[in-house]
Amino acid sequence: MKARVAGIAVLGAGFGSWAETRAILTGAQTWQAQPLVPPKAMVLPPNERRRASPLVRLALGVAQAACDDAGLSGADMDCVFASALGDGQVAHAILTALATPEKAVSPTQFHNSVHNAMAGYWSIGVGNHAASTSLAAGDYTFGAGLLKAMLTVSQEKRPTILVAVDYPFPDPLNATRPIGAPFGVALVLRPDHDTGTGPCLALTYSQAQAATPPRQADLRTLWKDCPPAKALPLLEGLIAPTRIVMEAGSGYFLDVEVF
Amino acid sequence: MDATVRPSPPYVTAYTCVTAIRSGVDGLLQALRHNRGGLRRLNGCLADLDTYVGQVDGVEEVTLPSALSHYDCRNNRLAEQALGQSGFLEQVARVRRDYGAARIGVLLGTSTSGIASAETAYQNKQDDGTLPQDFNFRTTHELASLSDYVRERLALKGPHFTISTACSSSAKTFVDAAQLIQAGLCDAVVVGGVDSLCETSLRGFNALQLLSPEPCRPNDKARKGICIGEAACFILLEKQNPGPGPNIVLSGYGESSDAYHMSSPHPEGLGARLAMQQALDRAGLASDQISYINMHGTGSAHNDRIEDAAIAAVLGQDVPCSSTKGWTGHTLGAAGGTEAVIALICLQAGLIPGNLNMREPDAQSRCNLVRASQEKPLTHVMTNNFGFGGNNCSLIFSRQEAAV
Repeated sequence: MKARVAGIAVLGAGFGSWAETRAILTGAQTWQAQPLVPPKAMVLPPNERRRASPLVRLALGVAQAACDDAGLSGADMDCVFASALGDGQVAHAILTALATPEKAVSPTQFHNSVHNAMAGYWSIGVGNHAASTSLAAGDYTFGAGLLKAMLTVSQEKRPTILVAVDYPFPDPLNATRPIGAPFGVALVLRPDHDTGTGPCLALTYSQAQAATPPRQADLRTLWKDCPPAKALPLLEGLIAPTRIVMEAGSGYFLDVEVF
Repeated sequence: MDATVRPSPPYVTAYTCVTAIRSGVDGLLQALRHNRGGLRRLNGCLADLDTYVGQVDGVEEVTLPSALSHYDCRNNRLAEQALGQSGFLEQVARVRRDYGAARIGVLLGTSTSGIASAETAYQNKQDDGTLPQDFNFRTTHELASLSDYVRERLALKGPHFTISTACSSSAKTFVDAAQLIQAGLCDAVVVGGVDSLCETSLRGFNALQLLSPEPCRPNDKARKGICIGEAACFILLEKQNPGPGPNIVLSGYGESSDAYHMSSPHPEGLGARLAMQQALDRAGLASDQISYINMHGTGSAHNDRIEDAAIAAVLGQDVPCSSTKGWTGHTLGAAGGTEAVIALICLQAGLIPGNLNMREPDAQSRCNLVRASQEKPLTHVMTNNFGFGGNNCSLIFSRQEAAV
């Protein structure tokens, strides 16, 4: 399965932009895990923008940045949203409410609790009526999302945006599933791998038994703990084309060649 | 779409389910045939909610294999209950032997996974505010818990993930499976979904004032809302047909987004129409070739009316239609898979299921709503599922000999 990478965006703790991420991944700059200020969800109307959770803001911000990088509007592409944990702030609010005698769940929190809330807000914000999926695969959520996005590009011949984001849970859930830091990555993939310009990906099944870690040793803890940061070796490959092995599910490996 | 380049559709070779009606596919067929539903009044610690639910009997007694006991939660018990029925494990063993474990994927849909375990943990927080030691987020509440449990239980090693797009979740697993088979990465895929009763869903829909105080009556002029149900369903899709079996293919699918509102459908049913039209186009079928449509039909007046108008616009007013949520309740993330299983049962048995509990159709309804179940040979069946976030999916299953 092949696709052209038409747009790239990264936002996370200490990753302010794709340009900054490039500098970190090439060793020109040292990564420092500064707190992330999630971007304003500019694609949403002002009332929704104010209420959007940090995870939704991260997802919409990184998706918009990838579309900007590709020079596309986001209105006509299939969507794959990959998040291991979903919206922990919303889950925590509902679980806390259910532990009180009143058990009063907010109707808005409830419809925001669906895993595809960020996908729904994105489709509303950019006016996209195309197919949209939202998936989770634990620590291997980025690889599963990449697999699904490549399936869409190669089998449906559709431009597709992959958005992978996670935000650490609030306490007490955080202690049960720590992921280290917030991280978001978005790729705009197109089927015209043989005609356009820019790096291309080729995905094939791999018999390998271990994933390629990031070259930058100081990023390996983040890569190990934070599901969307599993994209880091691929992002390195998009700067200097190479072949990596990615785990797309526990024990299920893919060869990803950047050319 | 050019028929000469259309990829060959995947075959349905086995399926199983548990719903509120009765465990198993045979019980479901009998209940559909004899118009016997499974909804009952909600009782126990949630009895302050005035509603009916589709609850599965015997979930509490299910035990997971001891090596996988860390996955124990209501959602995975429900999965285990369904896996053990209708000869499904034997069919999975066959494909594992014939194709190899790495060539078989596991794609499952859920909306809330094992969140009931997190609800209990929050209600039993320790004095320092932490959650009880025995609460394991990864293997219960986490969405991946479902696909991880089933993959390990079935000893499969292919691609696996959980899809969670609210009420369309498990319908969409069929699409991804078709793509995996078409791309040559899988020879077979276990699809379907599981959602189990939990306080989050019941109190959430109650907060939206959508729960019905009586067994739900989709499409009825006096309907009063939805009934939540739980279900587990699994369907085996294969690249080739191994011989005697259902002889049914997944001939079409369509997916769309409303891009309108988080919990209310597009007023003109735009997303619903797009999904149904795409499914027809992909199957290479004209609208009058569809023998029966299993509607999403939750029992919410607003949503039922929008779907009714969308069906009339895309498929006309003659195709027999019904919602089967009067039998099972709305099983949320498992609804797509459950209603796919109902479509498969009905295709095999030659049965149009009625719209249980509908006494008088909504005066605005334009579709050909089927009141009571009737025996009739079916060729192509469409099933619709529409979820929060404006996420829509339509599937078409066809008798193998009739697929274009």
